[in-house]
Amino acid sequence: MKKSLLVFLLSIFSVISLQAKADIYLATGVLTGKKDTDAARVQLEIALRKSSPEIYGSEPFKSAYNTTSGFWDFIEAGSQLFAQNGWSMYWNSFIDLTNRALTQHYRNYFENVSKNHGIDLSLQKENYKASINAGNQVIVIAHSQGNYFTNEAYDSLSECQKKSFYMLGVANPASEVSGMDEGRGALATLDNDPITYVPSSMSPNVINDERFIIGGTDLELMKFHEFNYYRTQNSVTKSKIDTFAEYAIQHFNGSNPDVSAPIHGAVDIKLSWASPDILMELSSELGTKADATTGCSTLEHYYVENKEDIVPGIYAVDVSHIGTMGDPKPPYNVSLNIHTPGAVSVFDFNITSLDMLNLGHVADINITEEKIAEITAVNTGVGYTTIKCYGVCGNSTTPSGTYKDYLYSIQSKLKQAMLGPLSEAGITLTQAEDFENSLSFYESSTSGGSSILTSGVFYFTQDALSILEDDSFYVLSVNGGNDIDANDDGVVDATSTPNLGSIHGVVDEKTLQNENFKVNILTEVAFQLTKELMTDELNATILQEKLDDIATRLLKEDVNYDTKIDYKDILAWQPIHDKAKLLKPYDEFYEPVVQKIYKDEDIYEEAYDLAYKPHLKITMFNVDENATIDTNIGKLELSLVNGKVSYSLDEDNDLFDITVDGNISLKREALNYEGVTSYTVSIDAEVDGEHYSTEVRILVNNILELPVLKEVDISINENIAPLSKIGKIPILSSDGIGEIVLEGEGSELFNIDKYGTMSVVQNASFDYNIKKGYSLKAYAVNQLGESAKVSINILLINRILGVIDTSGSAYGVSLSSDGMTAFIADGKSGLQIVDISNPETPVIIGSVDTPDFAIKVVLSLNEEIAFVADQFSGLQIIDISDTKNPFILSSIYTKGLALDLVLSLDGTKLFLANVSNLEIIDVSSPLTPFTIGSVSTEVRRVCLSSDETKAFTLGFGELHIIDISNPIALVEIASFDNLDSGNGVAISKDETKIFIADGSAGLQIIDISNLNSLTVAGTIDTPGYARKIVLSRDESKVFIADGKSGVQVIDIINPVFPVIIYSVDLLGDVNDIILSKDETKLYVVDGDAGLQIIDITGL
Amino acid sequence: MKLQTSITTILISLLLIFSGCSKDTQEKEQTLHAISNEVVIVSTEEADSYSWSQVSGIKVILIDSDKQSMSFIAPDVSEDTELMFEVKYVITTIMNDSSIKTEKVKVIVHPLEVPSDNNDTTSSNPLKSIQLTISNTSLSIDTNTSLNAIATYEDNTSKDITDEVEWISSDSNATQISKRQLKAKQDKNIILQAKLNNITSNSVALEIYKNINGHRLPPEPNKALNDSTLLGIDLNDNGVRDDVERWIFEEYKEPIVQAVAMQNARAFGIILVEPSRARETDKLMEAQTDCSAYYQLLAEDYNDTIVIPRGTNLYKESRPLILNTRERNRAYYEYNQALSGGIYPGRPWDTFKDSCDFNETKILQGDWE
Repeated sequence: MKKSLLVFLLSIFSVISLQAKADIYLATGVLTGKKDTDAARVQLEIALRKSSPEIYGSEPFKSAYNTTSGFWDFIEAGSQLFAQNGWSMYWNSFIDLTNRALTQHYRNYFENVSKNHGIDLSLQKENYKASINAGNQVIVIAHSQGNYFTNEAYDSLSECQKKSFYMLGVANPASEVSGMDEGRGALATLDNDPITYVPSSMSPNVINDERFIIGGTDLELMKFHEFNYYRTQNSVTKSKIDTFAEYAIQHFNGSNPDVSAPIHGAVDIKLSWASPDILMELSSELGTKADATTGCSTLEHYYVENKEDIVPGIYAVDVSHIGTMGDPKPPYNVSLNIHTPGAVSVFDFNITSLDMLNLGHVADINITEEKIAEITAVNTGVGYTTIKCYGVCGNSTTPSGTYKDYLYSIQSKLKQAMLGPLSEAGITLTQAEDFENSLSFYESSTSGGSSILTSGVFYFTQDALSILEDDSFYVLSVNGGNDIDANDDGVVDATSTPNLGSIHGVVDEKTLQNENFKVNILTEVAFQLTKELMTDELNATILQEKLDDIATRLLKEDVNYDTKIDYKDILAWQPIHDKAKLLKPYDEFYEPVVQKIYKDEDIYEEAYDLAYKPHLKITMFNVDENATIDTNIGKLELSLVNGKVSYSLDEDNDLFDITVDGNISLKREALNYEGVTSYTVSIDAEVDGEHYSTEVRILVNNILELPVLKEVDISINENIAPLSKIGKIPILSSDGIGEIVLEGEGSELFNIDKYGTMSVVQNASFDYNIKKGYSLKAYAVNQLGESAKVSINILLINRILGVIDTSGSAYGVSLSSDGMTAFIADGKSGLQIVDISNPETPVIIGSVDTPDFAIKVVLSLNEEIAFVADQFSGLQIIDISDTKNPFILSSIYTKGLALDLVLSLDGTKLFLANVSNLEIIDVSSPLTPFTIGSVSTEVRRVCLSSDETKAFTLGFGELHIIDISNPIALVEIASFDNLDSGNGVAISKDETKIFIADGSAGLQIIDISNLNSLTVAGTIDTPGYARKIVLSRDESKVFIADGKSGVQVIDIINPVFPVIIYSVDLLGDVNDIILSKDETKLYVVDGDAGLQIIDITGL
Repeated sequence: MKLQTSITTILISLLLIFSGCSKDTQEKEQTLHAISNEVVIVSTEEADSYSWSQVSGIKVILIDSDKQSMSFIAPDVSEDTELMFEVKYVITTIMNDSSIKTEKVKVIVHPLEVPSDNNDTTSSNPLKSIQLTISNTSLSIDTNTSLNAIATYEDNTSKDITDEVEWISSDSNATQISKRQLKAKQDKNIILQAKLNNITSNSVALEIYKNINGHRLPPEPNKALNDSTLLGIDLNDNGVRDDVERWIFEEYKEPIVQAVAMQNARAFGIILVEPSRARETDKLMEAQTDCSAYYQLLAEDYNDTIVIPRGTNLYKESRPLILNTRERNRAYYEYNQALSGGIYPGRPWDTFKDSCDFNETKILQGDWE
């Protein structure tokens, strides 16, 4: 019985580097359901990959599923076994039942229906081919009838593709295993597998020594056919299955070393095609051609390995069809991929006729040297690093090398109809002489798709080209279609633009035969201006001359790089790349014409004007700021003019002059770059009574001058923190300042940067009692030299009147109406009461702890009760009638985290912010407070309108305005959600502006005069983290608790441009502030630093 | 013992002529009348198998819904109320062809206007009526509920007689009553009454079901009807045939294994309906394959637990029951046929768990909704 036995000489311990990707398939046949196939495939994949992950990678295995058409009828006709045994056992025991029916007749039938299975295997064949054509290896574990299908698929491969195809035949009923003789195939069939009874099947090669071990006997024949048995229960076949893929990968990589080394360079140009039966050739002026990697001629490859080898230039890429093998069937899918650094351009072709495969000049790779960069060593503080500095680099960097960088542009050179690419447009070709009679002899359409490169492409059949007459002209008409890139930005539009009109290209016979070209807006203009010549009496020479003349009237630059401007440039022109080469600006002159074509409107007049109407272009000139009178600035040019031109400019222009022949000059010495950097001058040109106007833009060049500084006085606190910024020197002229230098006694205590910002140094120490200030000088330095020196007077001040530390973290503060007592919400230490009758010696006189964390305190109208927001313990109501012995009178738990409080004017209601709700609490009876209303809104801070009909609340980054006129039905009426964090809020008396201490964003002023549209009226960043805000009585200033940067005093007289006028640097982290009634003192609670009393007289 | 109460028995006359092996469903509708609180028995013509269901109206518990005669307790209504029922039944002719028929029955329930007469004349203060209440009328097997029988006497006094009454059940094997406690023993619906001195109480319907791992099993369907269509009977409308669902929950003990097996059965239900759409519906089968592989082979690699033992093939083990008819096998064959010739790539392992159509956390908490 044993016909052959393949012995695998495998070293399972050898390390195999998976050089090419292996696509692994499990192929099954009629006796296995799709579900069984998938389950077996997943189990095989998991077992193999878990054992050798380095070999099998992460690519999932695939099922190649097959059954046989008509087999059901065979089942029903051939046996009553199912009816007798019950259908429920069909899928599990069918093979057993079949086995009992396996008379010779059925065996023959089985083999016949297997071979003539009647199913379409094209999908599987194409899949295998695609894998191989992509450079991958195909490994098929075929079971049972799957062997027939796999052998059949193998037979469809080309000889070279077969070299990448490996197959293990498991329980094989077929007479062969494909590729076995070449070492790419193997067999695993048990001697007691009934499949061996199938006539002409291969002899088994594994003697099942375990047939009696696992609860079976030879009577259970079909059990020994199941893939699961082969894979899990017989150790020999298990080993063959589990090691075959590993063997195949090793064998493949050993016999195809080139596969592992596809060259991927800085530039890769790859032509690939699906059908191995056609032969294509890639030709590129850029790069080196790679040798064929697998020998399967479905890939051509050029590459430039190193970026350093790239030389700027324009490189043509051509594609041609050089032959066929066998009988290739259309469509022919060809793909050209051009990889350049950082980008890939893909040309996908779906070609329906062999004679159109000669694509010719498909693309140009245009490489330009865009920038020279300096590689500069930069001190990062922890070492030196290199950066690329493009364009003009700063003066302070030191060039240490040069670096080339390039721009890559891939241009389609295919025959293409384009306003933008015109997808699916109809095309007709007509001999020019026949055009007036509409006698076209060829009709086709442009390609569809959504690629800028390959949409709108058209081809000619050889039949059509063969009937062209030598030296004749033809008109190619492009009708309708959709413009997929109407704005010519090189990106496919979301919605394409339908074209109802037509564009034409006049093309000579040689160009049609041999070259690619574009039908575009310029060819249409040329057609409009030459169509009158297209009669029976057409003179080709005259037509060519006229076309060339039109080209010189439309273009100012060579398009096809043949060093001259003629009609071939028009045929090469593309809107994406070549608009700048037009004599007249595209957007102004051509785009309206394109729009008319879309609508199928006549454009003859526009075409005529484009070619023959003079054009005075917008021009830009430069002039130095110190230019003298009569300096010549530049000369205007009017294109397309033969007659005499007379120029003039605005009569009221007193700075510039123009001569009749277009020379612009300076009338007087008044140019100053620091004042005005550019001028726009209106120019009129008269030609034969016709007037053409334009604007000239004159840019003033900056000429380096000495900088100019201005003196300044700066006040600082004696206890200012190290490195604090203290002010800025006004710079009147900053021309190229490299540095600003301070000098004078004490200058070492201060830093100044080149922008004039001053700060104190790390170890600076000031004592108001020893030195009241410093008189310094400052000057700026640029490449011309030093500026004049100016005085910088730094005055020391001592505004902190008194300080008292509290035991906790001071977060909130309120004052008694007589200003003698401060009540501090002191975090975990509850309420602290401080006698401040002498601001220089504040004294704690009483305190009471609260259950959680006291964060805000307000006083009742009679000042006998303190209401404390106590976070998780809600509202604590504290009797302070005896300030030395305060005690908690009552409390009410709120829904969330009590953070802020406001008492109503009549003292009966508290508005409490608890993060998730704004609650209104009736406190008219402090012993029995109760909630009378709430609204669900994100709220951390709250303030009220003066009539108490509105509450202004801050959530996390949001301002909400809530109608509270009915306390039991609160309604949000407006909101603003563009805040940073929103920490403190105050409102102007006229209720048109909200002032918000906005964390990292500083002060934000929100205009609320129109509740339907809240807008930012003004803003200014503060140095610290803005937490609370107090508005001065006259509303000219706000005081901001600015976290670790102390207190900022900000002038808001012009709310559009608020200005910080004073900063008080303090110890600790400022949480809350309150003004004394007379606004001469500021009481600041400063976190762990307690209460600080600040003199703000005169600010 | 027969239930002793006001019973309306209704026989639906079926004057239908069945022909050959036609599967056409013939429908007929009857309108019947009943009084609140009485046990209503509705019968149909003799056939091989039956399946009763309620189509509309106040929900009642159907007793013997797989029998020729189905019964229920008419709900307590204050005005005339319509209940609509449907019965499907299979008739096999002498030619061995079977035919499925459908009958609709409308029952109009009228309010109870006249109180029950007192038949007990032997006592000076005779027993007038018994009110039976059961604290929970929907029980899973092996759970208990309390019974309470209150007697009302002629002088309008009342007394708890729970310990004195005799219990009458439509199926005494389905429950076990001890003192005041009823224990559910079999998953079927029954009617219970209390009786003392020839006075019987109101009837109370009890719904008894199987609960496994928090999942309430549907009742065992009538086999002939269940096998008469491709999809069979799925009373709880969860996409799995009721007989398959019961088998899965009784065969496998682990909740996740049950859930994976249910996903398999659900996928089968979909692929069998339209085998020609196999390329579309096979995604469900593939998802189940991946899900199953995750819990059998991969879970430990993702810090989960392997719950399906190696060697267990949920798909193959349930297939004989799922494909237990020629028609189902034929549909499955056609499904495989439609997939023939294709290449089916697997998916990355890290997507396998996402292929499961159940929420593992909820399943483990007994939430099968």
